[in-house]
Amino acid sequence: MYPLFRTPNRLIATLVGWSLFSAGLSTLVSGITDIPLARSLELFAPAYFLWLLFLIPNYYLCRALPLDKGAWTTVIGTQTVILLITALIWALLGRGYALILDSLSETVPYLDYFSRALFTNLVVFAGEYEFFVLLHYLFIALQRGRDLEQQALQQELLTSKAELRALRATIHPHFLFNALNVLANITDSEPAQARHFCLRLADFLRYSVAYGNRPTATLGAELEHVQNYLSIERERFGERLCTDIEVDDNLLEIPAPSLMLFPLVENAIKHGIDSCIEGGCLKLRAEAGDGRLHIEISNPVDELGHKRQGTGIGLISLRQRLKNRYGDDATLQTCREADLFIARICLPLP
Amino acid sequence: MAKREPIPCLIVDDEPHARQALQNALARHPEVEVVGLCENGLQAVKAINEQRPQLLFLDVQMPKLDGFDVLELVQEQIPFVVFVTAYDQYAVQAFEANAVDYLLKPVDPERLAKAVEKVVTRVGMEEPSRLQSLLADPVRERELLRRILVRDGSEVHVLAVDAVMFIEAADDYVAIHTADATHIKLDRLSRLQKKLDPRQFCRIHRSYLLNINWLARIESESKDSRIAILTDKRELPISRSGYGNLRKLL
Repeated sequence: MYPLFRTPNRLIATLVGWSLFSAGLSTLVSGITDIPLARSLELFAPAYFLWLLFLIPNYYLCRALPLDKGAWTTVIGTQTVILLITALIWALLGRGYALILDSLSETVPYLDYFSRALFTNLVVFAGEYEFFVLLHYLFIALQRGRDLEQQALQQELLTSKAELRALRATIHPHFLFNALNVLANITDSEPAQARHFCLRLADFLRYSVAYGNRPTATLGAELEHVQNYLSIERERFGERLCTDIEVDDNLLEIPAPSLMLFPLVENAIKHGIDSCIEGGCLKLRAEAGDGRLHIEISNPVDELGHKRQGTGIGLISLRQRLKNRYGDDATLQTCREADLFIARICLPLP
Repeated sequence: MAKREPIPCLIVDDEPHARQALQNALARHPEVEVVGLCENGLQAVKAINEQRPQLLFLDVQMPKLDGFDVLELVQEQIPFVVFVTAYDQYAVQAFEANAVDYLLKPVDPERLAKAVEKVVTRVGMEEPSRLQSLLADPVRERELLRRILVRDGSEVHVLAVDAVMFIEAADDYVAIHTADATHIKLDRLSRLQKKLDPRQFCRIHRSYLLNINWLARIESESKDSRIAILTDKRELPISRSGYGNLRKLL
């Protein structure tokens, strides 16, 4: 919908305003060309009013020819051609109207008047057209600015939602219940191990809870966090869980988003290893190459191992967080290769 | 109370510490005797089939077969069940399955003593829980199945619903046909049909439920007699109302 016509009030205001403009312009042209005022109003006011119909479609042309593409010559060329065509059509229509008036009147030379004022009218029309082009581009630019602002707000909302979800997943009550169970079961039989377990659990929770204050960690800290998590799960899974983590020591100081590895490792355990009756091995590799950091986490999966499939929400929110932070520079891809589920993260190195 | 034989029981839990802890705790209760520890549902089904214990301490969340799956497979062979789980979200379902008791982990020794007492009373009354009738209730599971469990003696097969070509009714049993095998399950075709995706499975005949993904074409022998040809060339009869169902779906 044309912006000026979006509400009934605006539509009425536009029509009234344009009528006044047409009358005013007729008066002005009558002064310039020496045509009597009454005749000028009869002849030109309706013709000027018609301009509105020629100028409005230009809005859609402006939208189709955005300025930011840098194709200035195309924009100017197209607008000029359209201007010439519209001017010609208007002149023909106006002349037709003058002919009709002429045939109705014996005394007044309407056609003559029309021809006398044609050059002036065309110049005014061209000016008017240019004015509308500027107006339309200005309006489109304002609109775009507002849209961008809204998009930015929406993005921010998504980010905080994704972060909240990541945090909540970390301190999931089921996880705490499971940890407490293990603790209750081993306190009597293996007190030394129970103490070690408590320390790992405390480290794990400390890191998770501090997340809000520290969006960036190092790869080393991230690895330590998932190692803590895995050592807790290892108590639960027993021989069903084996882990194989290989990361170059010189990568440990690389900055990385906090809680980037945890959702992937948790997924690997919850939906992968735990779906396999015999369990399996979780592999984690991180290496630098082509100026990028590549992380790969793989685990066996048994598609029929669980009654329900995972929702995939953890992956979606991690992908969102990476996108907010790195744009298209970071990727998170997942795939199935035979019985393995593989997640790959690729980040730009600083 | 007269001295009686201890009640033979199995502990089924996928976590080693949990099995060990429960076994230790039960050592203080001479009324029950732990005759086996199972790490997963498959082992449980096997052990129940072979050892016929009277009582099961059953974890709910386990890989492949969860506690309720185990019950579905051995319902007629196990008289008494006590669920042991970390979460209380299954309590209602457990009592619907007529469990004797529902223990939360970590197991409180006093709570365990009460559960054992309950079991002893029930065994004394010789009133086995009616697991079967309640489990057969179709409204218990409203979620559509992704897989079908079948048991052959001590062996359990987990069939992906997508791999099932058709299911055939035979008295109180159903025969589930996959591309390379046929499995017999104690169930009713109509009950199974309710739990399968109606957009995928079509009742083409009183005795046949067809997975339409395996349908190659339909041939008509006469006006009222049609045959479904499956992708592996097998043929199934289509009844008149079955043809109606099929047309609605396709």
